[in-house]
Amino acid sequence: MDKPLPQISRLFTWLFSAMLVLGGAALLVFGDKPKAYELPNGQPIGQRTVISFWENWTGVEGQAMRDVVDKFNMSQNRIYVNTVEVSTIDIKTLIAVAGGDPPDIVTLWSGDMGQFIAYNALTPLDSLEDHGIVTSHTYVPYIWRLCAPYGRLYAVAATPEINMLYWNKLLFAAAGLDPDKPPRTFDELNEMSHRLTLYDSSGHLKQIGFLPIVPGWWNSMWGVYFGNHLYNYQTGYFNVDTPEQIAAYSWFASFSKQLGFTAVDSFLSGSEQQFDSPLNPFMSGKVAMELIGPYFSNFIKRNNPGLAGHYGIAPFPTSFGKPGDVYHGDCDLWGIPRGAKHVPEAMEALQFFSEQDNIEYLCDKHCKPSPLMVVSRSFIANNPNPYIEEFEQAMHSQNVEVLPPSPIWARVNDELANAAQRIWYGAPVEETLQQEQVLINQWTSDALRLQKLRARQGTNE
Amino acid sequence: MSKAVNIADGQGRLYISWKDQLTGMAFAAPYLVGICIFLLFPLAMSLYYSFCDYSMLQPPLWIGLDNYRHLLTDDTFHIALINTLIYAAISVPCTLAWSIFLAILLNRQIRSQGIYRTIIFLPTLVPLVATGIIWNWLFNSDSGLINYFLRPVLGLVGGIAAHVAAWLGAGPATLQALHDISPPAWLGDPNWAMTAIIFVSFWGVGQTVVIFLAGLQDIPAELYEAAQIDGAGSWGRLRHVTLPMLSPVIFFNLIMGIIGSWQFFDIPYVMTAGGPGRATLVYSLYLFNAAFNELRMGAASAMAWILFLIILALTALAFWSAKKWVHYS
Repeated sequence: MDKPLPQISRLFTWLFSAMLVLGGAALLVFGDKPKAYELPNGQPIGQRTVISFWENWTGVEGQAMRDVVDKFNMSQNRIYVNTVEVSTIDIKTLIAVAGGDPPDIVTLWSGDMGQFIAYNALTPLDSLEDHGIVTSHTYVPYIWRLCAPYGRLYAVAATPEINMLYWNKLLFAAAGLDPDKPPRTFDELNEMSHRLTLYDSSGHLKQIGFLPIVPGWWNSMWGVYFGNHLYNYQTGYFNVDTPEQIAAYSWFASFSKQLGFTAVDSFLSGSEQQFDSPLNPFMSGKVAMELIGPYFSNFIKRNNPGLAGHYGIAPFPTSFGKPGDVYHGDCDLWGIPRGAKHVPEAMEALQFFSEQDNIEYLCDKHCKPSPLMVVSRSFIANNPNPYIEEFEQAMHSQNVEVLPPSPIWARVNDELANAAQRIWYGAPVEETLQQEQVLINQWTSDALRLQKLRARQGTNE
Repeated sequence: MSKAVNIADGQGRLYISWKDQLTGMAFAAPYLVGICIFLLFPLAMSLYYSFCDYSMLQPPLWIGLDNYRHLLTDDTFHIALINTLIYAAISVPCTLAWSIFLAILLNRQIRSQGIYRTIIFLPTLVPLVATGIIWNWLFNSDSGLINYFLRPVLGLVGGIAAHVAAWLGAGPATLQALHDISPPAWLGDPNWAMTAIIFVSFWGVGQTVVIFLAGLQDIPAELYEAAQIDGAGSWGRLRHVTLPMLSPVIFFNLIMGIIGSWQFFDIPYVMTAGGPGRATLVYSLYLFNAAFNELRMGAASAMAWILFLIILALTALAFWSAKKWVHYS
């Protein structure tokens, strides 16, 4: 005989209902409430217009930005900037623009500019330029190229970076090298790297002089130091398989061939590629030279104070001239996304952020040079970066290569970084770059064709 | 008191009053509206976008079959396709076999049976991102636990092999190579990365094992008794009773495995991001990158429809083959 189904007791039903009601009441009483904005001094913001600002920095850098925003919020009584820290900010901003609810101000990476401009995702900052607040004379030449890649101003500069070769003087001295003489040519770099590379008794790598995959962020840009101009601004096409580029990646691959990629992987497996970690190979003394930006000084001080007085910086060698004949530079930028609801207020905030004292405050906290053409004496005198003058000098160079403002740069960068990875793992250099050239040419011509088609059909927006 | 509204006409047909029909449809409406808005409409739109250049920021631009044509010549797409095929071809049968093996073990009447079942099921409760990060550390070539145990084992095996090779008269280079044999840089070596990823898929077999376990418990004990009387040993009972009786469950898990393997995403996304050198770039990861990193929604939609067709074809193949090997009692 079938057993009768169990019955839910009346007491249980009542208890369960009471729990639901009590839980709901507790949520109402103690749950999260809509945020009431406050000024830094604790005063309510009153009738101010609230504008949203998506910022990609956190930590020390994020705090510096919040300080500037606080200063702006206290400087007037009409606008309140609400800062939100956002990861993968580029994609999230594009999706927000597509959804019709973007922030009023966004911090962008310079490599995003081409895609954002092509998708009409940024509001041109004509009024800032027309009123002479930000012009081509405001910034050093390469920063202006980033802000106005096609002549029209789409963004203003936040904090810049320009890469230099850091070298560990202690490791140089231990290897019998002059600790005050960095490599000036690729031959010297290779020779010094060889002397600085050490093995333990069981034949495992213990220390490496130079590794082009540390930190590995610019594997698509090595050609710069061999005289390659990756992007043709006139045609919109990329130069991927030029002799300069082939020379660059042959040099890149030579490290993998000499050391063995498995041995290098094993060597790096206990390290962190992050610059803000004591396990960074340069900071932990495992790699003697690294090409990286000015902010690195901040993190050396924090993660390995013992190294602070014992490293130097120098322009990276070039194959065609002397070190410093070309640099690779970058910059964080502020823009106003298309569809932002408070454009005049956002412009006013950008104008404030771009004032010299605010930019210098931010750059000081980031340990970076200034993007501005003119800097104050106090900025140089008080900057925590011991090599600020060298960085400032590099900033003013006429030969700074930047990330291409191509609409398809995200895709091309990923492809080139991947090609570099394959070359590192043994793929033939020339053949790989030739294949990449064909592929990227195809993508470029497709993108240009579609751009023209859209222009003809009037579907660009 | 409600009136009777459903009248059978004596020939097996059932008439339902319009009022009952409306009531039924009203109850089903939330689900039907949900299906239309959140499934059918996006499906139709993605099919349309697959014939367009579409980035979400500009109106879709009709380009006909271009997205599909480009995929035919896209080497990266081919790599993703082949990687997924390799993953599916190895992981699906291996995880099925491993799950059956575990289920048979867990089906035995032994002490602490419940504890063993819980242990096998536990990993499926760990979020896949956490699983990926843990396995990243386990596979760390220098300090990972796997190589920590492999190193002495390979050292011993290499030493023995070197002695044997020396006895056979091998050259010094071979002997040195045998002495130097060391564990692979799992996730840092394009030749080993996919193996590592496949290995991780064995970790999450708990749910499949539970389904097999239920299937095993449904097999009547009389069949085993009859087979034993007929002289069948353990292997014979497994081959002639367990596997045929379990075949509908195997078939179900095979279908789910095929679908899951072609949609495989989380573990390579967390562990390798498709690297090194695209060695672990699987189909869904490439699709995700096209859609959300490059905003090529049209191309991504085309990839999604091709993926649908691949899964449909493989499922149809499995159903066709099922006639030959699936036995319903």
